Amino acid sequence: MSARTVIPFGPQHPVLPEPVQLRLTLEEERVVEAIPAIGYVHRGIEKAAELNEWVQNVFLVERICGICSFLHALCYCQGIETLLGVEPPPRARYLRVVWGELHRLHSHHLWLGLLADSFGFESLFMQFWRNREMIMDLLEMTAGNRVIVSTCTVGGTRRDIAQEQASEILRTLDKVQNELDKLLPVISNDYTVRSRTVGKGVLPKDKAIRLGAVGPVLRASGVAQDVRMIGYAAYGELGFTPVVEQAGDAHARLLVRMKETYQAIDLIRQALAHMPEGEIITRVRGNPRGRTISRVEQPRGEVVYYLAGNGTRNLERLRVRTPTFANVPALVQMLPGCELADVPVLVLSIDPCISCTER
Amino acid sequence: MPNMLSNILGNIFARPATRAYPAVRRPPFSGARGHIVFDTKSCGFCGACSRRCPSAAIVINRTDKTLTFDPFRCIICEACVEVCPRKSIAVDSQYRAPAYVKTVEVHTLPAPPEEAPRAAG
Repeated sequence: MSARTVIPFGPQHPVLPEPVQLRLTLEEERVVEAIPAIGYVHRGIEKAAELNEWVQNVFLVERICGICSFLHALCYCQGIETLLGVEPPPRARYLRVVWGELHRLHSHHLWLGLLADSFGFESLFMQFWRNREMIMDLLEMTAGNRVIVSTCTVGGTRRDIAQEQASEILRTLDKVQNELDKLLPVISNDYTVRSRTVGKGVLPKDKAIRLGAVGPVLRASGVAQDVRMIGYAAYGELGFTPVVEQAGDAHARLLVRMKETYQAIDLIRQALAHMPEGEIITRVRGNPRGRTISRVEQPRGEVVYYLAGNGTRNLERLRVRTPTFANVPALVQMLPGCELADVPVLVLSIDPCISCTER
Repeated sequence: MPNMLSNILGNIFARPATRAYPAVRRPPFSGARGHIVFDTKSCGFCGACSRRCPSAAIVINRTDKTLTFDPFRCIICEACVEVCPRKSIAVDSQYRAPAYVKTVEVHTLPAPPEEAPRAAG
């Protein structure tokens, strides 16, 4: 047996945008054990949510994550709406799909760029991030802000998308899709991409299910599971089918996310085409009482909110289970056996969002 | 690499995708949330904005009729704009510049026009 070395990988590392530490035990260049350590960016958001009023919490939960802020707000609002027995108007449900999918689109662009960066493909990284700016401009045009859009509220949405804004969204999405068409062959066939991702970090189907993986990590292992299939917001009316790949390696996870960007563009087009006229918000009365679980599919996977209300303005408890937390056990199982140089690619392949996970 | 070759060659001759920021500025979108402006002339100092503000950026003193606003706490969520019964709060689309020193704004009721001094007697 050769000598073992322990390398602290993170929390600050050139390719890791997120503060997670992995204590890697190596035999020569090969990883034999990985122990994750988190706790660098805990902000006490769950406690703050008990101190704030439930109306104000919409703005607080949006700040759990910068990349999927709208979907956190959506999950919270759906939970409160269940407790209050409120149904958002049909137009609001379609607007939620548009903003939700715009968020997924820009999140996947960000991730695709970061993955390219992790194996040194700088020009591909810049192409994706240049594309992403067009989507960020759409968010700023429709919601008034690039990242924290604050458009979702309990009972509906706070802003509407006018006809000329919808036309602008469709025009920009055509441009985005045109650019993606040039990058799809690079992602699927390019030698550099394939040599760094194919066959790396294989997660078989049974193991993915047993470890409780969620989102693109689970779908890349051949399991067709996506919370959008339960038809929240307007997904039930838009004919949604999840993107699934069978290989279970880093390349399959890459392909799932790449195909989901196309799917997000398609869902936004459908939502804008079928959007009914009418109100965007229902008036809400009273305070939430009771307990509920709310689930939403984020770019990284399924997020679960547990809400307990006691009939006052403050919630008794707000608990958030983020998708990265569910994917960390899968990551720890993926790493043993890989080369040290592949660790950044594999860590990024689960799309970690540690700030979400620690809240 | 052949897949990216046309892209790389195109980028050599194309204009940059970014703009020379401080010199060239993009005008903000019409609905952009730049910063909050208060109109104390119509303000009733009722405190609705202060109670709704999720970041506690607004403090209202009803006896002194003053509104203290901390722009560095403000997250420009527009919650105060929505609840203001007199529509005294609005959002401007221009972003504020960053600053070295954090200051607060104190808004008071504008002084009433001075009355002519009455004749003694």
